[in-house]
Amino acid sequence: MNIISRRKYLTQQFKAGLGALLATTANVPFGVQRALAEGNIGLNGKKLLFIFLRGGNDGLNTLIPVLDPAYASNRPNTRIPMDTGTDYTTVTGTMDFTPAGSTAGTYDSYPYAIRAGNGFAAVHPSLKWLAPLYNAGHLAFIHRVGYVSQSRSNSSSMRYWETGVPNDNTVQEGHFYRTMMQSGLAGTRAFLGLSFQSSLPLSLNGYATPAINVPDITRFNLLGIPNTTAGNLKFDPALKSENPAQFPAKNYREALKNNYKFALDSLGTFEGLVADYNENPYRDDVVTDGDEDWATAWDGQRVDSKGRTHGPGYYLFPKAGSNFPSADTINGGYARDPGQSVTQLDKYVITTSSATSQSSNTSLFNNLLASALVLNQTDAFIVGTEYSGFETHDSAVIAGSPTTGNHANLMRRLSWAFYSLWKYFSIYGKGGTNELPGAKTSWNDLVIVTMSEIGRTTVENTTLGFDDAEASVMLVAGGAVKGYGKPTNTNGSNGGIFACNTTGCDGPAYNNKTVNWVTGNSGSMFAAGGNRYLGRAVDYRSVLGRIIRKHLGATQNQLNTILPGYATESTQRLLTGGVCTDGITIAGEPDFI
Amino acid sequence: MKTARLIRRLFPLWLMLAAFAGPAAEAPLATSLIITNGRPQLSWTPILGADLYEIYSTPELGVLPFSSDYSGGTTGLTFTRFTMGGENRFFRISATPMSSNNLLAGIALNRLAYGPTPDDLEQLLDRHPVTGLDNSANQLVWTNLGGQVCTGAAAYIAQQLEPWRIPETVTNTHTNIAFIGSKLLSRTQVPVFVVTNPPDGLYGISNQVTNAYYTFSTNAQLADLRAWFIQHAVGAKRQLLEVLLQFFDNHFTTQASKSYDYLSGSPFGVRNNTTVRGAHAYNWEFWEIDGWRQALLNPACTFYDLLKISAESPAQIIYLDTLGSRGDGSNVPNENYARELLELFAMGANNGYEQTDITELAKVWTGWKVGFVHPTNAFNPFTSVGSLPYVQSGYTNCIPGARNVINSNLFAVSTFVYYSAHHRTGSKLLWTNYTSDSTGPVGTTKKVPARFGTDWASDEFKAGYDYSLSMTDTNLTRGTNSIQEGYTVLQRLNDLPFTAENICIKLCRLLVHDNFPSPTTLSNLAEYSYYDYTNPSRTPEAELVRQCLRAWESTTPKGQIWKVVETIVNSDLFRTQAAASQKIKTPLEFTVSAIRALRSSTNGTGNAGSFSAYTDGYALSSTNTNTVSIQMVRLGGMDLFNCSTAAGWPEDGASWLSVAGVIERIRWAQAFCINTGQSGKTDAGNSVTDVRGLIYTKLPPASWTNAVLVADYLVKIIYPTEGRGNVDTYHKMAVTFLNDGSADSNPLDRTKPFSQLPANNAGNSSYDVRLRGAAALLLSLQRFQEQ
Repeated sequence: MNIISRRKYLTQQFKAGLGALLATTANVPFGVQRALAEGNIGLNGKKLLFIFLRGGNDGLNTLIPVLDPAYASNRPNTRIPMDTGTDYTTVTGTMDFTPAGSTAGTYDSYPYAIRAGNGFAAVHPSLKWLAPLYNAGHLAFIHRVGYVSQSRSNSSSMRYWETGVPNDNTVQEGHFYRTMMQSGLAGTRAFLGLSFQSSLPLSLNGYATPAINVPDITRFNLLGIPNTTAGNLKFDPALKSENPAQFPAKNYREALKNNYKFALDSLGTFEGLVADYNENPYRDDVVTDGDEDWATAWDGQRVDSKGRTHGPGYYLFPKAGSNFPSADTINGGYARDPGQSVTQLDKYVITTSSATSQSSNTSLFNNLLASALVLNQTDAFIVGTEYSGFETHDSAVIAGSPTTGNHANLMRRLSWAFYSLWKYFSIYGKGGTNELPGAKTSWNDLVIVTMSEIGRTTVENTTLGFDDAEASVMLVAGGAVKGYGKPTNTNGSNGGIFACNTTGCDGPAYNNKTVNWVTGNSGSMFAAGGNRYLGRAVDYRSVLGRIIRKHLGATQNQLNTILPGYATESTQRLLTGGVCTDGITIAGEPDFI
Repeated sequence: MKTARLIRRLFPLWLMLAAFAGPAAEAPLATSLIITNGRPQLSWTPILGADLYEIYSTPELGVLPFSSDYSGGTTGLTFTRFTMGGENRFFRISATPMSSNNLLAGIALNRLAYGPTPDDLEQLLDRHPVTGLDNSANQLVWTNLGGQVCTGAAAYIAQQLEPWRIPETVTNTHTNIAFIGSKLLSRTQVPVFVVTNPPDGLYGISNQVTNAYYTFSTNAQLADLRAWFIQHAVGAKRQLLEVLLQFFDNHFTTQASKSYDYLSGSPFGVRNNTTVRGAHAYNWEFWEIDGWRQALLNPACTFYDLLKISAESPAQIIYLDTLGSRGDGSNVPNENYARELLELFAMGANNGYEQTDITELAKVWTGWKVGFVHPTNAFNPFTSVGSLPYVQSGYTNCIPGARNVINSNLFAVSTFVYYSAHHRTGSKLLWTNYTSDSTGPVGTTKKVPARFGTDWASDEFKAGYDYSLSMTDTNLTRGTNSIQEGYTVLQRLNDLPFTAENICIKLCRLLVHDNFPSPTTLSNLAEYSYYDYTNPSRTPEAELVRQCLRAWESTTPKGQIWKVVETIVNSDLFRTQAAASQKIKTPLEFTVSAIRALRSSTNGTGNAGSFSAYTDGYALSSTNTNTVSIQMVRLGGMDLFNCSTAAGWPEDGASWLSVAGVIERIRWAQAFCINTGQSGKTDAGNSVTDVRGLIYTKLPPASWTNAVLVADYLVKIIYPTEGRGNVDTYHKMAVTFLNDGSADSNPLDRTKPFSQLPANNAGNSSYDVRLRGAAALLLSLQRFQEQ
């Protein structure tokens, strides 16, 4: 393979698109003209929110194969223990979850694996707020997700997960970028995708820049010199006058030109959202889980500055503040009034220990709040963020208390993130119980997906952590997910759990490919290369591909371009599954949506 | 004449001809001729490094000679003639390229330094940036160790390659540098523990020391270290040394906050006393860069020297979890350091190793700890320490601020110690081939792949060389002697061609351009054939890498960094347009280069207080002791000494380019130029410039209110690499901006052109603000993001 030609293969397609932009869209600030008039991407109102779990999430302590004896034997100090009072073999269909009850004890951290209801799997107790989504059929777990010739390098594997082209370091465009480029909205909107994190992820990166990264939604404007309105009116046009200037070609000049154009054209874009972002009035209330603590502590309804009323409850997107957690405007999350009993503090999402800790822990929710606002109020259809800290080589759990520690903290915030997004779009989205003016997105329009570049070793190391490994778990949520109880569900008693069960893995939900979980020390948890890695049963591209085609509306032809592996079904097996080039049988696209 | 008539018939009114008067190979190409209101506009393509575009014309091709056409004006790449003149006319466009010295000066100051300063340019350019006259009398002269006398750009490069011969005066440039320097601890200095007002009864009853009672008044915190580091980047004479220190600090990434957090953990127990934790944790970062600085001041510094400093660094031992990794008994060693040592620090991903090597190597890195010992043992890794937290025997209470240690007359330093009880004994076999199920070696070993060929001085680089490493277990290799396994591996890594490739390629990306693919030994990947050194038609980039490898392997000892750097800067790729402006500045490079662009010692002393642009360092990092570098994070997440990914910050420009990043960079440039105390200054804080002071110093008084000359000077010092002809548009923009009074706060000035503003006003006058605005505008443009 020629290194340059491969890069050109992907670049040239989109350079052609850029040319169209420059030629025909004088009044359109972003994007490019779509090369192929097909599919419904961006036109059908369907949207995607991604959360990249950086560092490599320990899938085995997320969706736990609790009945595989090798799980317990290989993690003597780090396994999530089973509750001796629970029969995990019972197929209940639903995830055990104790909503707020009448006694303080129900608020305590549950120190055991939560039964997931398919007779084999369990989930981390810090994921308990996933249960309401799962039991409503809105959540699917897809376990054992990886790719052929899996790299155990964080940086390499992140690249492959974001370009959609494994084991090729030359590709510079992300799969979400390619998805946007295939949209009928390309060239007609200021932007089609956004990320809210420190820098643009590779998944959104591409030559024509239809996506932007916004580290801080409140700072999307310039100063003037002097820093007055007149100063802005003088400075901004002067800056814009640069772009027609021609210079000799250099590596980054086209990219700089695009970034400058898009930046200067989109100044002030988010001004309409900043007030809502700063006010952060979105809450969960008494209706959602029957918890009346807030109702008794407070005197009635909450009314925000726009006259919208809210029942008392938890803040969906916790924010840190100088007087956290005492003031109700900033405590957020499912933190309780500190005047409540100590046991209720167990329900804090965000630590109250220090302002620094709060800040690092609330950044996920700040980014998700911004993501939710943009998804609900603009036509951007791929929005996301990242959540770091999953590289738990060390101190994944606290000694003697394996349900606490770094991974537990990550799981707790992740589960609240899913819960809060569900509630936000159900309440404030299009058709929601308290629909915001101009809302564009309902819960049924949205799919949330997690990605994580690698899993962690099945065997714990001496530092109560796990080393870099291979397959892990993906979470997919949304009203369109065919989870437990949905009439469209084809996964039988496994509900919304894919590839973490010993039977039924060869049914229609798996394209009838046999990828059953084999227990024991020579089984699924040790199937890959070095006999200490969770073996893959599903390719991540099959999960993303299904979402991009079935939800976002790509045609198969478009998907073949977005994820090039789909074009070579005979070896990659992304669509219908089968034996891959490394001899591993994968399921193809699981039927989760 | 016949031809001319024919052409005139084909082009009845005007005819363009593109020609090139200068020595460069490429000629400007006429792209359009538009006639509007009887005024013809001629446009052409830009030429790399064009200092000047000139228009020549003649009414009779072949009859009358071409002469300079002064009957119009040029804006950017367009010439507009005032009138048609009622005749046909033939045109020729000429471009004069910048001199090779000036081009090289621009490249050197952007790559071997954190950007040019006005004073640098006066020392390096052929012609003085103000007078335009021959500048040879002012040029830098440097005699290299080979006795060769160099001038201008060549002198600067030769000088920077020998930092040990450059007198460093950076301490004079800002009072913070010496002040912070006094707060940074050497490895044998114990933190200064100051007790302030402990309440009665605290002794013996508390296991926590709080800041309310104790402080380290004289030890550096993270913000101090960052400010000190940034000050060096801004003002050091040994610029290339500073560039390389940043490069290697990023290459051997550690994360200060992880060290800091470790010290709050239960085994150690320095809980709430943030200054105690910081005094140790942040000095570990300082020891790294101080160690690398000293190493690089040795002309024969090798990669091994740098790698060893990293491997022994407490910050690294904590960052990649070596500290907790045990190999004794049934313990499974932590693979984190072993993996990154192979993938990131030495060989490069997929370049000569596999998972089994990582697993095997992880056994070597067991027993490497961070301990607390008497200062006399600061360099003795075999100091007898107890188990976690590895405190020297008899010095249990030697860590002020730690759990149950309220005050103490015993003082400890933190350092690398070797705790052999945790080491995995037994033989280790590295770079051998294992069975597919990894249960054991198959009896064959790894060999240098065919793409290397055999044209090397040392056997280790030759195709087919067996580079496996067998470390057998004997009585002599156990106990404290087992520490040697680590050093044996580090030395072997230094001598491997894969390590040389990885490091040389990263240096090429730093100094030349980004388009050097990563090397691999996997023959099915495209990069394998890209770096096939037996291929006679390999790319210039692959050839440069080969030459760097040659410099690496042909010296004794192997892996000498300065030899590699010298090879790169002497290459055609470095010295030509192939390198110029081909990279994007990191946030650090962007901000520091902006300060340097406007920085001159206005009284010529080079002393603190005399500079027309400076920073206190903190303004680019953080004014708070332990928090993130707010400015650097806003500009792209570059939280100095606290990178969260082991790969460090990326070198490639695409990673730093984003829409929001553009906005933040422009905002910073604006805030930097805004006067102190004025609205909007907060973003840049105490990074300030006095553009007026610079203009007063550099330009004669008669030019101070001349918008054309002021703009010309600013364009020349901010964009020395592009060619003055190519930034003519920028010049026009700056002139327009200077003459635009629409934003002046004084209504009386709003209609005045620049020339009518009094030049001797105080700060915040219309004159001052317009100058600041024009400078900010020039620092905000696309070409300033490049280096």
